Amino acid sequence: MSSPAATLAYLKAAQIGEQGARLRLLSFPSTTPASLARLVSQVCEKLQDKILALARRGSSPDVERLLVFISIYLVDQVAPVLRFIEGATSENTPANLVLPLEKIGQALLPDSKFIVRRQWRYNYRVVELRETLESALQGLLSSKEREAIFGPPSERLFAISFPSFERDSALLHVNFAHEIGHPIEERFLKEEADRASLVDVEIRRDIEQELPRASSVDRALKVGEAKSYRRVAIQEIISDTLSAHVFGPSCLFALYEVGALSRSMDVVSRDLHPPWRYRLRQMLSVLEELGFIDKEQSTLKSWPQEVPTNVLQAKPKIDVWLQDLRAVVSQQTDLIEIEKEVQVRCAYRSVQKAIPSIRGFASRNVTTPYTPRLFGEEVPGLLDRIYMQLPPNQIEYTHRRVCPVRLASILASGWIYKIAELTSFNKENPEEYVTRMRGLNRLILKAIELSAVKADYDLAFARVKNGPSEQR
Amino acid sequence: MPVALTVPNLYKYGFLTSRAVDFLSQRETPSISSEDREVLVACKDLIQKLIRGEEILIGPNPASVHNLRPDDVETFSYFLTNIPQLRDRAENAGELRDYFASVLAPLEAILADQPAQTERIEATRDFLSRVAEALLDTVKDNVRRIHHAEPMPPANE
Repeated sequence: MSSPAATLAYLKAAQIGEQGARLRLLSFPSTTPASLARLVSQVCEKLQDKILALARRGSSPDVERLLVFISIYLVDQVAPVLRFIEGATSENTPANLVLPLEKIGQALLPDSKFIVRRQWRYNYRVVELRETLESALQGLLSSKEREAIFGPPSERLFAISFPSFERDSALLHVNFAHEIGHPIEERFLKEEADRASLVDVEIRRDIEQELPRASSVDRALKVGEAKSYRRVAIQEIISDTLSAHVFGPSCLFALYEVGALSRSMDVVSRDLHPPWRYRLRQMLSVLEELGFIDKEQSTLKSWPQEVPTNVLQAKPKIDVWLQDLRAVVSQQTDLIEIEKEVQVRCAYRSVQKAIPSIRGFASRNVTTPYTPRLFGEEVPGLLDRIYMQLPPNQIEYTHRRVCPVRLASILASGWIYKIAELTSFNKENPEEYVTRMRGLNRLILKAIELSAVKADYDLAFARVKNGPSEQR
Repeated sequence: MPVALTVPNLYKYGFLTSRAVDFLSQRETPSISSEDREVLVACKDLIQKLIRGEEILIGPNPASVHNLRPDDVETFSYFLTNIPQLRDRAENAGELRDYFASVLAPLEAILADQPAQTERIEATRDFLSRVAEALLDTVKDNVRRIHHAEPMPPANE
């Protein structure tokens, strides 16, 4: 007879593995969630083997403790992965957006895979699953055993979560680019870690000047805190900057909308995130530097004059929005908050010094950035299609020359339409606003789907067309 | 900010120390398998990490405290907080460092295929067992806290 601990652990592994196998059969917009389900089943099978081997050795307090650890690992770490898979089905996600987002993620992080899943919490977030599961097992399975289950150690799998009821809010999903930026920022921090002593020395010197009479222990604690504030601020700013390179001005629109729900525009959050006003100021500055927004006038650049009237009339409305935003970020109330505590102000002084390297890092890491030229060439035409209630998926120069467009342009045209035409509801008929927003989201999602189909078709067509010459 | 290890490290060290304790409990076996060797090397690395992290407590000098590796300090602080015997030893300067050196020695001897005194092996086993227990308590607490804090509605999150 096996011990109760062995029996419990074995049963848990079997149940979780079975559920993983069942989830694999669901319909997903990409192959990654099913692969993750397979991975869960494989982990469970391997753990069942381990549990059986331990049970065969007979019971002892040391073996029992190991078995309890395995049970808790299964319940606490392996089973929760199932909810990521369950939330990633075609029904639960903006299915037409998933593949284009995966492509963006893989272009930025070639060794990574992504799943997009819904969650009930109201935020966007990214979690690494594969490496997390594997590194915990480093204490239990040999490297050979782990590689047989998890594949090459370099591969990572990120789950990006979005707020469940926003499934069809295509425009808000611009925030995915920020989340994809988070794993990339690790590279910046790693590069910086090689010269970490410089950052440490700077912060330490700063704290020493601020607190000349504090004990060395108190100063060491403040240095530690300042480093934490700095790390989180840098992480957020890098991800914001990377997303601006990927999606252009849409990131600013989306950041503002998400920030409007925050507790305060000015305080550093409990989880050390920088104030929203600070992030918006940085984002605006990045877009000015990239040439999307005119710094002096706070207006959109790259907007052609020869466009249909409604498209021409949308431009001043966006400019007013940008000027309002300029007024918001011109207020210094967040900087006053930052100045209040020594560890926070020292951290942000160091962050400010790192801004040029952050921007350089972002430019180096986005190899095919979205540019003001593409914005100017594609967005006005797409906006015209939205005004005609057509999906903004292509630009028809003539009936024989149809060009697919960038995902960033589709999203930007949607945002500009929203800001120009759907800023507020009519008090007499509020339902009309909801209906029009729903309609806009549908057009955007359809455009993303059609654009992806066209790109795949063009690729396949080119392959067929060029096939014989390649063989030669 | 609470003292915490990353979740994968809680399990990694939990599995490792539990296995090492199991191995040290049955030391009659004359040879050491490559798998057991891997476990003991990892435990040796953990103790060395604690020795490095302990510098935050007593030196060698205040300036170098700032250059400590964050994960060494994090690991040391976690065990100092969670193992009362370590806190008691930390009261006297140098005692904790000597203690870590004494629990490290038998592992080094076994890995070098040299004999180690039974009492010293017993002390190392006892230390690793306390480490494993502390980690087990933390993961049990985490599971309880996470389940308690699950937001409504919990069905799909």
